[in-house]
Amino acid sequence: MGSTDAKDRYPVMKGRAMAFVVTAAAAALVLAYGIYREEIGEVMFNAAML
Amino acid sequence: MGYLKRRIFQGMGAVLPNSYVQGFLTASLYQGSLKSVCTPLLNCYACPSALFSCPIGTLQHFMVTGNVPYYGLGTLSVVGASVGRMTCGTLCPFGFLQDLLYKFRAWKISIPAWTRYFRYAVLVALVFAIPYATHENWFSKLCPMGTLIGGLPWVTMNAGVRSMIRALFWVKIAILLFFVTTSTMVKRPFCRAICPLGAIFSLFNKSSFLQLAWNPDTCTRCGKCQKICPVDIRPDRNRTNPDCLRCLDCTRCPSIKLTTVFHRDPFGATGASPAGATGTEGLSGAAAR
Repeated sequence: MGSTDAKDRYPVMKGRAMAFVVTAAAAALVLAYGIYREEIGEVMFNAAML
Repeated sequence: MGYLKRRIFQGMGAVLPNSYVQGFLTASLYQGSLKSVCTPLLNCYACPSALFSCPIGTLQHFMVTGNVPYYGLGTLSVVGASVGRMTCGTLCPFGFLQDLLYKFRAWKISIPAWTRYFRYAVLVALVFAIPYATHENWFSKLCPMGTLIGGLPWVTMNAGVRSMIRALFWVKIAILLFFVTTSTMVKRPFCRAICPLGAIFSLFNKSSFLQLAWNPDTCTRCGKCQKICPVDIRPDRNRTNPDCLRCLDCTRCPSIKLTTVFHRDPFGATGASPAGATGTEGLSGAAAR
């Protein structure tokens, strides 16, 4: 098996990088919306008052 | 990651989130602000020493109350987008227990890859749909980790809780015993077939920041990586396998390494291995463990 260029050896990494950026942004937005809705207090209350 | 280093991380993952020792001494739950944080681990928040919230319990609570769990899903998504299933492989205490149980001398069997789909069914049914419909936390009621570190300590410590034991408790004990027994024969059966937290994180394995890279030029396809893999997969065939726990045991082979999505050529343009390594040296001792 001979060596090839990085571009040929890892062709999917560019797509993965874009997928990561989109996923991370969406995840951060969902988390921020949860914090904005003050769900943290409900989580704490639920966990502490079992 | 070295074998000992991963065991140390797993030990920390078991001890640190459960370090409210006072809970055992006074038979009470920690009620401080840390309980607002969902750990990315299967760790029961009903355990007297638990400092953090169980993420699956949190998701169920919001489904029971008819709300979308944005905070819980957001927390898990941020962790998943960063490291994929790495917390399962390096920190989860129930995964650690299964890893240790598999060390016992017992009849070893493998389970087919399609059993992974059960965990998605468990996630949809027991964490989202049934709690929403019945207003009961059904996964938490049956969770073996909850029985081990939540149910059993409370039944032992508190006569009031003991008097409330019904048939469901024995069902929980049977489920726990089933997974304890099967873990001696099968590599991480709960993580692979049942765990809803693993099901969520596995959705991110393809697009997470951390990725595994494989060097086809130096790999000899010896299969030793599968022997030491805690979930019995071959990273050389699929580096983004949804079952992969990112435990990094296989990175002891020079043909596999941890990289990031932004790293286009983690082994260098020539793909040369360090110091003429053939790709199996690092695994020889590990496979024997």
